[in-house]
This record gives sequence, C-alpha cells and structure tokens, in this order.
Amino acid sequence: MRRGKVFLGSLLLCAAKYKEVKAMSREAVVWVIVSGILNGGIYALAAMGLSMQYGVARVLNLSHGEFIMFAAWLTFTFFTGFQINPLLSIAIIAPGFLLIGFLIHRTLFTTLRKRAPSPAAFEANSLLVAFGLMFIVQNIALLIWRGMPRGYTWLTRGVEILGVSFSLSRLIALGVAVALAVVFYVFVTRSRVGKAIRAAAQDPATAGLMGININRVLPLCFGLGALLAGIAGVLVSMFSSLSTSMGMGYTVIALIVVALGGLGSIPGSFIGGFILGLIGSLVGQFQSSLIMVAFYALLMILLLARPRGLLGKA
Amino acid sequence: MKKALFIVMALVLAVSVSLIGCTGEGEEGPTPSETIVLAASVSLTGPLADIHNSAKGPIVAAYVAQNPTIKVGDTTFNVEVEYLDDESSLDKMLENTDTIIDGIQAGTYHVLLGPSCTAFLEAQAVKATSGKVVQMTFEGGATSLFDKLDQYGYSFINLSFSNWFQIPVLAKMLAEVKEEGDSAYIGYQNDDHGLEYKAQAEKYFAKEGIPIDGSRAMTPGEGSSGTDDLVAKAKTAGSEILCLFGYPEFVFIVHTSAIAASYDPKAVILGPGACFGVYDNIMNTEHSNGVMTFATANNKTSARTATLFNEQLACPPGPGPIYCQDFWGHPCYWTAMDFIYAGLKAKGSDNDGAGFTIDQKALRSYLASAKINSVFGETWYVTPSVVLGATDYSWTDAQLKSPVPSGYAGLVNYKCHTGEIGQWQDGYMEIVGYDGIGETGDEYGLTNYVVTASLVYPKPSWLPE
Repeated sequence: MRRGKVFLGSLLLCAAKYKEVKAMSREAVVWVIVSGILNGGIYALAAMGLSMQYGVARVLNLSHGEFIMFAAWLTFTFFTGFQINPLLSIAIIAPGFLLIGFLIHRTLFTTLRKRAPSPAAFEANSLLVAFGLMFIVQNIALLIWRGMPRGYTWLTRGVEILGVSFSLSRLIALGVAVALAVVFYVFVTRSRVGKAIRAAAQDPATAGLMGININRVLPLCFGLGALLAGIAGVLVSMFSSLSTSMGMGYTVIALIVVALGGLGSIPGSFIGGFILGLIGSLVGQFQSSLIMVAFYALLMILLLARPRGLLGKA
Repeated sequence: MKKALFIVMALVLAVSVSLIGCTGEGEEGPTPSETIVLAASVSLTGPLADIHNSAKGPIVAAYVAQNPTIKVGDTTFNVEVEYLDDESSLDKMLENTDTIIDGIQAGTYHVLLGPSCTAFLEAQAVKATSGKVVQMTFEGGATSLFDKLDQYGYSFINLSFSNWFQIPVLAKMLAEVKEEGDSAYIGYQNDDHGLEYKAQAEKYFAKEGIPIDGSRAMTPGEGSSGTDDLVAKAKTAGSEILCLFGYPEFVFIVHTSAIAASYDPKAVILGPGACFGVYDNIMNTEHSNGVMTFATANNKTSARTATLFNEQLACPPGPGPIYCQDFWGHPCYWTAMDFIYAGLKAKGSDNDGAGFTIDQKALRSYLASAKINSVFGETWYVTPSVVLGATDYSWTDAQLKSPVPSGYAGLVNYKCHTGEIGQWQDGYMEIVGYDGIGETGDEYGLTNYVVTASLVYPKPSWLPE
C-alpha cells in the first residue's frame, strides 16, 4: 500500500513536468544525457569508495569528500608547480592515498573497533571520529593552499557528440572513471583479496574464523576507498574550480548514491552514480537550484519504497 | 555556636557589600588598554573561509604589519588584530559580535571590523547600531542596503557594488561600443548577490538599449554542468555579450565550457574571481585576454595605487600580477584601514599615559565627516538620498549627503572610486571606461575615474587556432 502511494506520487510529479520535458530540443536532450553521464562517472567513483569504507569496513567516512578535495588540490599543485600531467598524477596520488587510508584505519578505527562493546557502538564512534577527520583534512588543506579558489586549464578543446560539444577533459575523466570501475569490480569479484573483502563484508567475525586477517582486510578496504576518492579528486580537478570547502558536497552526493545503489554493493554504487547524474542533469535543465532537492527527494522515495537500494542485499 | 557563626558571617557579608557599594560613583566607559585591538568575527573555517582568506584577511594583515603602531597624544600604541571564528555560521557570527561589542564597551577591543559576506554584514549592522559601536565593513555591500541605511547608523561600508557604481558604467560602456544586433545573456549566482546583479543589469541594460536574450541561475555545486548549459543557451540565443555574475566556482571555468562549445562572444563580463590576479594565472593569459570584470584600481591608476600593488601588497609589478592581488576589493579594504587608523588617531585618547580608549560615538562622528587621503585620493563617506527621498540612482552631489547624517550608514562616495570596470589585456588588468567618464556633462560625474586603457571590443578570440 505504501509503495503504491509512493509510486503514484512519483508518476504525478513526472506527469506535471511532461510538457516541459517534451518541449526540449534535440540538442537539449543530448546535453542532458551526455552531461548526466559525465557527472555520473565521478559520482560513481566517489560512491564506490564510500561503499567500500562503509559497506565493508563499517566506517561512515564523513571525510570522504575532503579526500577528494585534497587530491584535487594535489593534482593542481603537481600540474601548475611541476607540469605533471593530471592523468600521471594518478600514479602518485592513488598509492599514496591507499597507504594513508590504510594507516588511518589501522591506527584510529581498528583501535575503536577493538574497544567498542558492540558493532553499533563502533559505528557511532567511528562516525564521530570521521567527523573530526573532516575538519582536520580541510584545515590542513587551508593551511597549505590558503583560502583563494584556484584552478587550472587543461585540454579545453571540444568534442562534438550528436551536435553538442563537450570538453575533452570531461570525456577523458569519464573514460578513466569507467575503466577504473571495471578494474575494481573485477578485482573484488575475481581475486583472492577480493574474495576476502566480500567475506569480511558479509560477516567479519566469521571471516576471521575462516582464516582471513580482518586486521589487514578492513584497513585495506578503507585504503581502497581513499584510493578511489583520490582518483575522483584528480578527475574533478580537470574540469572544476577548486576550493578547500568543496569536499562536503561530494560527501553528501556519495552518501546518496551509496543509499541509492545499495550499501556495500559496488555495481549498485556504479549504476546509482549514473542515475543520480542523469537526474541532476535533467532537473538542472529546468531549475538548477532544485538539483539537490531532487537528490534528497529521490533518497526519501528510495528509503520508503526500497530501503535496501537497487542492488543491496535484503 | 552555630548561631553566632551565622550572625558573624552575615555581618561580614553585609559590610563587604556596603563597602563595595560605597567605593564611589562607579566608573563608566571602557578601561584603558595598553594596545589597540581591532576585532572581527570572520569565517576562518567553513564555506565562507575562502572569502576571508582572499579578501579582508591579507589586507588587514599587510596593513597592520606595515603600520604596527598608532601614536595618540604622547603615547605610541601597538595595534593588534583579533579574529573570532564564526565557522561560516550566522548564529555564531552574531554570538561573536556580542562578545566583541561587550569587549569594546569594556575597553579590551576598540574597533569592530565587518564579517565575511553581505548577509552577515547586515545582520551584524543591526547589533552594532543598537550597541552603538562603529562597524567598519570590508567584504559585502549590496543594493538592499539602500533600504536600510537609516537602520545602520554606526556602519560604514567600503566596497563598491552593483549599482554603486558598477553596472551603470558597464551598461554605458557596452552601449558605446556594441554593434547593431549585439545582445546579452546573463548567468547569475543563485543567491542575493547574483540576483541583485542580474536585476541591476536588466535595469541598466534596458536603459542603454542593450537587449537581453535570457538568463540562467547558477547553483553552487553545479560546476561545469552549469557553465556548459549557460554557454549552450547563450550560444543558441546568439548572444555576443556574456555576463556571468557568479563566484569563482563558475568564473574560473566558464572559458573551458565556451571553448569546448566553440562559443566566442565579443564581450565577457565575470564576477568575483576574475578580479583576482590569479585569474590570469589560471587562464594562461591567452584565454583571459579581453575578459572584463569589476575593478577599482590597478598599479597605473596613481602613484598611490602603484605603491599599494607594487610594494605594500608585495606582488611583482607589471603584466601578470599574481594571486595576492584583488583589483576590485583590495583598494576598498585598504581605504577602510586608512579610515580606521585616521579615526583612532583623531578620536582616541591615551588618558595621560594610562592607556588607550576611544569613544564610539566620537569615532562615528569623525568617520561621518572626515575626508582623508586614501588610495583613491580624497575619500569620504556619504548617505545617498534614496533613503531621504530621491528615487533615481543618478545622484547629484546634493543628493549624496555629507557629512553622513546622524542615524544613517555611510558608503564611500562612488565618485571617489578610481575605477569600476576592468579588462584583462595581455595579462594585465587595465581599468577601462567609456569616453564620457570624467568629462563635463557626464551624468555620473565620475571625476576620479582613471582609465588606464581603452576597452577592447570585440575581445580577442579565446578559441584555439
């Protein structure tokens, strides 16, 4: 009954906008779809990282967006200070963030997990720690790069898709995001380490009894989440202006995508990212100030109609 | 025994209270201080931290470092700055303001510097006025202030803003150079700032006969999606004048969207961000060439501004000034500091060596009538008589009330501004203007305006060859 009401409400909303949507020109439709996919790639990458951290390591990392921000600024520094190609920056930033994430979990969150009286207590405590980490990372960035927004120009030429031009840098960012997502999915589903990660996600205690070193796997998951955030930051820097306060926005979007795709589901986060990108692009076409409203409305509808998300387990 | 003890204690308490009550009339007013302290509630953290760190922050730091003392009477006092972090929260800013006002009344602080944005400025102005404490603003300024100048009797606003006198000059400038059929498209930040600039542009562009093809709100967080869509719409409409009254999030990347879409308008006017020296650095000069923004001076405007940009702001001179310079705000903020120091010197007291105090009412009166030699030249505050009855924004000198009447806020007279519109030309921020500026018969009488280069229209192409 409840799901029926939610479905009916959604239909009515779409019907109200039907005329406007129908009046869109062909170019506008192409723009909405392609732009949505371009944004969705970044959202997917950011969400996959958070999904690893929360779905497996059970840490709702509120500083996830700050890692994206920090990586974006590092890329900016490498490009403007040392003329290092942004894509090559990935080779430096990715392993660095993997190590940093691993160490953060190994020191902070592993200690919390061992001391917590219950998993719920650990999640609550780790949330608070992540909240503090958010301020620490943001202020470190502020100390290094000060408050002035910055940016760099790279690969500005346009590529025409069905009569509409898009920046080459955004298309490259999408390509990298998709390729990385595929590699990551194969890693998680086909490798021994991936199997250990999936086992830990299902039941850490039992996984430990089966011989999986939880004290390594969980920090590794957190590190992989940071790695994905780092790469997302590199890609974001290629076509966005940078500020030290930009991180929170990405954390919120990643949270919504994780909820949309299903907690702990990498494919779910991947698909959810693109869905969110498309919705944002369509809504932005009519009223850009309603993009976040649409995202939150989607989240509310999803939690009512399908709380486990698209591909999450029941 | 217990009864006796109780009686004794009660007597001691009563005698103590009586003695305290009899120590004389009780001194009113601030306690003399060994140092002069300028205090502000600013956003050191949070989303507004960018504003403080690029606007008021560096100016106040540089000014105080270069002018570390003020001599009042026979005593030289050190000047300090104290910032209370409002974490980009309005409530916290108001809390901090209460603390500062209390401190000013107690004598631990001496001047209230304005907060980090216009919305905060207006909220703080109410408190400053009721607390009878001078508020010297830096960032912030909006046309909405005009309706409330009679409510902010202790506020002095230093930054130029849309119809004080940027958009009127921009519209006149474009009307003089544009070709038949050239029209404008407006992108605007989806907040009070953007809506104000959009409204003023619509008003003055209409007045000068510049058609507007459309507008698009830019919502924070949209990033390149927003600029891509804005450019697509402007290109589809055939607009030759692209206005983007937004913040660095969009200003720093709109050129990439335009280049990707092969959109090459004849004129581009951008909001905060393009007025920073760093803009040219981001754009690699080939893309910044011809872009217009809002600016009040450069290092060619006068010897005074040359000193400011070449020495006092510690940036290299000439083409390609870098990120420490803001050609719009920094001259205004430096002027604010000039007024503060002049006021403290003129109306402060060293209390015969006992320490520094200043009467806020006396400071307010001084600022309301003082004419000082700032980076703009002779500068003073006025209250535009839109509050006092006039309805047209082309004010005559008689309608710009000076001294600032009691109970009204003061704005730096726009006629003191040495610039309103800047244009990047070959890596240099030039102050540009239309031919009529400063000449007799010019309806705005912008006699202080110094044009350092002619406006280039159409701007050089920013598309790759």
